[in-house]
Amino acid sequence: MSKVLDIHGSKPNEEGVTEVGHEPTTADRLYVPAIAAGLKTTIRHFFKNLIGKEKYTQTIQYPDQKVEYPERFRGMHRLVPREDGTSRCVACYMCQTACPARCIHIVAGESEDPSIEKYPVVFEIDELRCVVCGLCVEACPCDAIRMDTGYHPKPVYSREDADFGKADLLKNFGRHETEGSRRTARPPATAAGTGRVDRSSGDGGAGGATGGY
Amino acid sequence: MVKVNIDGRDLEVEAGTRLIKAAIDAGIDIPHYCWHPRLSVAANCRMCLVEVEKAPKLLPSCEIPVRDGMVVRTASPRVLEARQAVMEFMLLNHPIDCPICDQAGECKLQDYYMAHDRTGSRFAGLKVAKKKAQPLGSTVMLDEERCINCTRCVRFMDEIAHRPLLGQFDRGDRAVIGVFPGRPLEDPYSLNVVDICPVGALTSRDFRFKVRAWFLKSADSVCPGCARGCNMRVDHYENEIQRLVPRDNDAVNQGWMCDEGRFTYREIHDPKTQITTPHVRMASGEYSPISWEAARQKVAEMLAPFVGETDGSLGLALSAQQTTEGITAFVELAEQLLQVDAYAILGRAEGEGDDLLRVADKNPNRAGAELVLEAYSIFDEGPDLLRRGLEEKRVRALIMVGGDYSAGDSADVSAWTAALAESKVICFASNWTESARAASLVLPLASYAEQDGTFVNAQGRMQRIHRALKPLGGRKTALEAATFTAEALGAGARWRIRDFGAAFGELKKRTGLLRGVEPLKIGPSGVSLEADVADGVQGPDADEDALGQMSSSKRPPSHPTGSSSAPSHA
Repeated sequence: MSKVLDIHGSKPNEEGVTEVGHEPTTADRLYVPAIAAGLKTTIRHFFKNLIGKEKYTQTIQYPDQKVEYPERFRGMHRLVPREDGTSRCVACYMCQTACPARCIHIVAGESEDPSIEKYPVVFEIDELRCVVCGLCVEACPCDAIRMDTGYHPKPVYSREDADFGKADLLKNFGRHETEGSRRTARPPATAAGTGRVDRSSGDGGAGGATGGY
Repeated sequence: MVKVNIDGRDLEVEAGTRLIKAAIDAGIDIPHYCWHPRLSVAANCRMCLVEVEKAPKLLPSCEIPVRDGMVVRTASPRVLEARQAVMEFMLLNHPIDCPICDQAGECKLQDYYMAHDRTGSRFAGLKVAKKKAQPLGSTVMLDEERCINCTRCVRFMDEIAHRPLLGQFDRGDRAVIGVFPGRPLEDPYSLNVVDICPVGALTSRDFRFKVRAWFLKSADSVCPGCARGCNMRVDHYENEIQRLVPRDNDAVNQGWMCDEGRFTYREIHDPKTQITTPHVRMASGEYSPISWEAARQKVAEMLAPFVGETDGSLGLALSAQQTTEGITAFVELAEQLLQVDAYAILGRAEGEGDDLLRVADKNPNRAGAELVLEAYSIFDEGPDLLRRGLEEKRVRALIMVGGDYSAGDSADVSAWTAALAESKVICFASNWTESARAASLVLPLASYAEQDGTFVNAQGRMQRIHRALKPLGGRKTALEAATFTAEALGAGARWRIRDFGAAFGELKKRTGLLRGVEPLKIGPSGVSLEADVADGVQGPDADEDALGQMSSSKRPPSHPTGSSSAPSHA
């Protein structure tokens, strides 16, 4: 807790709440000293920027100038494809479960491929609701969803257009990815659904799937 | 009675009780897979090993009967080490496909791994690959890799369903559960094997991939499928029922439920037949949706000739699918505001019954409806007499609460709908039944899942149903429907039966059977109106939860048919 201004010396009431208040001083009532204190900072910055060696200015001339985003910047989501171009997602709903904004909507279905079993018929992310926390990426056991695109969701004219579906999300690229490198992307650590997991291949792939088995 | 000491607690239990049962009854948890309180003992999972003093090895507590002076430790270092070893062994060949497994979230492998193992696998070889997603029949899906071969399902089919369709084949790490070629798992009770499967090996094909278990919200309810009144849990998500699963109640359904009952939720959400807005029949015979306000005027207009002193030609047909309180409200409405001459309890057609749970009477609350009419000293005309009344124009207008009708044969049903079409009929119904399709005014009525109330089953046991869903569309609960009708008749503030408690109170005033029953205190296993209540006793289990009820039972796991006979309404 931050410092409590207990001017009145109040005691906690029976609910344990201490009533505090701030009695304005004469200086407070005059306003001028507070304005002067604020101006002091402004004037200091002005002269530092004018004649000082180290500038305080933080202004960027966007869009001519752009800030380089850090390596782990969380941009728009993308679905990572398998080698055949379909999504790696097995519709386990971990991202939907982890999502604090409830922006992910999945409908699972039975895959025709018996080695996959379960796949998302619908996978939608409402980018307007998304709070860009990245918990979906952390929750995914198959590395099927990432936020490494490096760009923001494009502005849209209607709320419906901000619901990005499976096809849209599969089209997105990682910022360091090219069309060539993408096709040879590392296959999912565990092909969940095949059940033929070779643990000797290391990397705890299966463990990654379920958090420790 | 013998004295045993489990984990330092001195317990007195009946001789012959299995150690695990004695411990669980005393609130001491012993992890287990293959043991089930209602099945025979297999002792093959080894998860329930405990340390017994003077025994050289750890003993499986599910198999060992208690003996006088036994000293048992369920959490000693030796036991914990053994449990961890058993868990490691169980998970040796497990595919760990929890992300696509429907059992995830309610899986004993997950729970016990977290509680008793929490280490990585030391297995360096290739896992044994087995068949995945194998349908055993139309209702159950088998995943051989997830199976731990506890044989609960095999024992259920042998001992409870009495149809040994499942078997265990092959040996060692190749052992699998399966069916015989050409003999799929088709049984009225097949989905119980899904409930008792402690892992994700047997899953429901109906529930497959629908929703993850942790998203589900639940409400305790009673199956509307037949007069048995099996206790069940309504699991729902986003105002839609996802599945119905049984709750334990030793007095009614033990822990089982039939497949027919589990699928009763489908009609609630069937877009083709559900009614969610008022409809009026036009001259062409088509139904057109109208507003509730227009419906109110229509009701007032139709019922105006039957208010006060009239020659009397109005009938009230009450469906045995409705709650006791809903029926009470409509009977009160008829007594207070209308001149009703013919009352009848209708219901759905009889179906199949058997000696396990299913009863031929497919209505959950026939006994409740009869109880209400008896309390008001009203003669129940029954479907046939009411039909004849309509045909002979003795009854010229009818209020139907629930659109159900059943009679001897299909010719009767067509005669009934023809008679309905000739008369002025207000039908409150959830779905477009044959009766609803013949009514002049159709008003949407909430199903059992959308309202609170009580059902009285064929054994005379009153059980609570709890609201699981918000009423779909513009549906009104039976109580709201009675209130709506009363207001349409201009009763306004005079109409007092607006909630569950008020309706129950009215009924309680008129019948001694409900003496001492508090509607909100009816426990999860219900109250028997004949036994408990006659003595003014609520029943010992009134405030216990279903699990407590299960474990406090002194009856050993036995075949349910032995304990309860098929009721007489069939």
